[in-house]
Amino acid sequence: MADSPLLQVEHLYHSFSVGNGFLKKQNTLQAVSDVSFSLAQGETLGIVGESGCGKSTLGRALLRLYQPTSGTIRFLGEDITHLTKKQMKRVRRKIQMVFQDPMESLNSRHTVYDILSEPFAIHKLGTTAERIKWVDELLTRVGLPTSSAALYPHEFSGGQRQRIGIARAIALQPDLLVCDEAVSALDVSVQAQVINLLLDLQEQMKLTIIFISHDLSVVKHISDRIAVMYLGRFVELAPAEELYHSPQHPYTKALISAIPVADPKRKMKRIVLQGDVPSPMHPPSGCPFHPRCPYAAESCKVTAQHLAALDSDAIRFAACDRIKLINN
Amino acid sequence: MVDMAETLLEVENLCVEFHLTDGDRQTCVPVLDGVSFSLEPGQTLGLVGESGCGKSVTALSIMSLLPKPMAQVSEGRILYQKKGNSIDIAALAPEELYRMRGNRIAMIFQEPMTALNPVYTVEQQVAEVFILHRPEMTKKERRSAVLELLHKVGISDPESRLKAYPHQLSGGMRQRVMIAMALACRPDILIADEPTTALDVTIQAQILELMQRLQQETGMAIIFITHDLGVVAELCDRVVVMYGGRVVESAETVSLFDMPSHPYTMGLLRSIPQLNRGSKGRLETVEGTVPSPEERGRGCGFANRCEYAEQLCRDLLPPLRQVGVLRTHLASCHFAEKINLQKKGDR
Repeated sequence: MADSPLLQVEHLYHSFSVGNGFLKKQNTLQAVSDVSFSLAQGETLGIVGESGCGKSTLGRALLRLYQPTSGTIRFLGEDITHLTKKQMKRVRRKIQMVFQDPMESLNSRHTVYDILSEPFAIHKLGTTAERIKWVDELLTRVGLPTSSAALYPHEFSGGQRQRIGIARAIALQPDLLVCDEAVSALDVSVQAQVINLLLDLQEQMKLTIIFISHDLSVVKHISDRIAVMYLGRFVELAPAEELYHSPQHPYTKALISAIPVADPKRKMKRIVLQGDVPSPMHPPSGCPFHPRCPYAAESCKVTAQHLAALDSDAIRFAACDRIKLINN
Repeated sequence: MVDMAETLLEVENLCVEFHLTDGDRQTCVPVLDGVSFSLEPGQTLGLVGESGCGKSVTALSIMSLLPKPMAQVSEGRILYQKKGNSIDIAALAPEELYRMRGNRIAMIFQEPMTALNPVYTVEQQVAEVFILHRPEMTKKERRSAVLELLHKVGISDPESRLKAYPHQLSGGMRQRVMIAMALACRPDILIADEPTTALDVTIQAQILELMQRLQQETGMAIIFITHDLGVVAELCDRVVVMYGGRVVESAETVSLFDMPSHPYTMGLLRSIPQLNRGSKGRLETVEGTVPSPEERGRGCGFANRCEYAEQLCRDLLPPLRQVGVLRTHLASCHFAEKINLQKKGDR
């Protein structure tokens, strides 16, 4: 049991249909394509990518907030892809989510006590007295005074609101926490406080975390492994440190070189990609990155690329069959 | 002091107040309190700080775009100097402002979708600048000038984009259109208020490169407002760090990153997760949050979050003064030297 992964995702696809109007042509938007990975207990997986790459959709599909089009999600060995709503309720206790904008994800007409005791109410846990005690404990745990319970979300600053969002997510002692851009809306000094809180909670509660963000520096700081997404696909998956020091996929290289570093003396050659991210409604043929890839060859326009192991230990993966060629 | 002949813009002791009405109660909130800095021709000045520190209000004051009558410049001067003439923008009549704005000083904003007008085409919006500031141009001249500008800011196939509406363009393209509008009259000063914050990193890299190239071509000065110290390090010659409506530190970029002298700057630099540092571990943080303008005391605005604060800090506002050996490195902290010595000892 110790070796079996907490979460195992195999060939997950999710598409949205767009333009469902009367007499209108229906289009599909492939948001997540062929994503596979497994996650060990206590591990942190970072998922990075630019807007529209499908990282949030992936996060939501994992919680079955969106029903995946195909593929399987196994949680603690159990296939949860086709569980009914009722059956999912049991699983949701163990998988929780922290959202980007706590002002939108917290009900502004509920007090902090209402918000934090709701998970207990939904799962019919504890008496009122116990719930009051638990809410106090949760607040202390995320570094808020217990007097906050009587206040409303608008009475807090952004960082404090995010702490409430985190408290709600950990209320039922989940195994897996999916953080979707959880610190992106915060100022740097507050962002650091919330990252530290997540790291502390992870240690205390043995949490497994999927950390979704567009900010590679934050992701690298918090993650053990990082997956880089582009147009719905994983293009690279590697341990955090190695991904940064020796990115393999051309997109990862460009992404890392594009991040401004707070060191005026460091002059690095920036790889500036041409053009915009193509629309996921009409993804390019073959490798989806080929129109912007500085190394693209004719074959890239035709051959689809799949995530493949780069080493015999299967630690690093990338979706590009010309990697050896490019990196020599 | 700095050689006056060399400065293009001199902001002196700028104070801005917001008058708020809450029911019957009138409150006056000091948003900027004695902000001073100067800008030289061709220079890139970074204005950094967290939300609510007053960096955008500073920019809006320079553009005279403060929401009046709610916001008022209560004290100080904003001197625009060219060819020996010196004009105080804060005291300028509206007609003279119109001639200045978009012509000598231009601005680009964070969210191009809200700054561009959704019901006008790209051509109409860029051409409007010429209609206002270059009325002598004919329609034909205007069109070719617009095309040239769009080409210059790296919009592919500009002819076909002329008739496009903002919603038909991507975020990066919209920002390019805004830059084209701002540069139409070859301004001396470009104020860029978080121009890349809403963009993805690979697109941000494109826009930063474009701005650097255009600056080299035109020799304009840029005031770059951002909260991203990485962008500052790559782009700016000089940095002004703001906190709670005041300037807390001002220095050449290299000097600021080498020897941050205000505890707030130190905290800010320590709390950013850096790609080139070791991974996974606690980040150092600045405890607490930014106080609102109403909560600011008479002393140093950072005192309640500062680990070095003493009674003096709470009682007396520290002046912005030279610290260390460089004449250009200023910080507003009573104990800057002492803290730096202590830090050297720790190392």
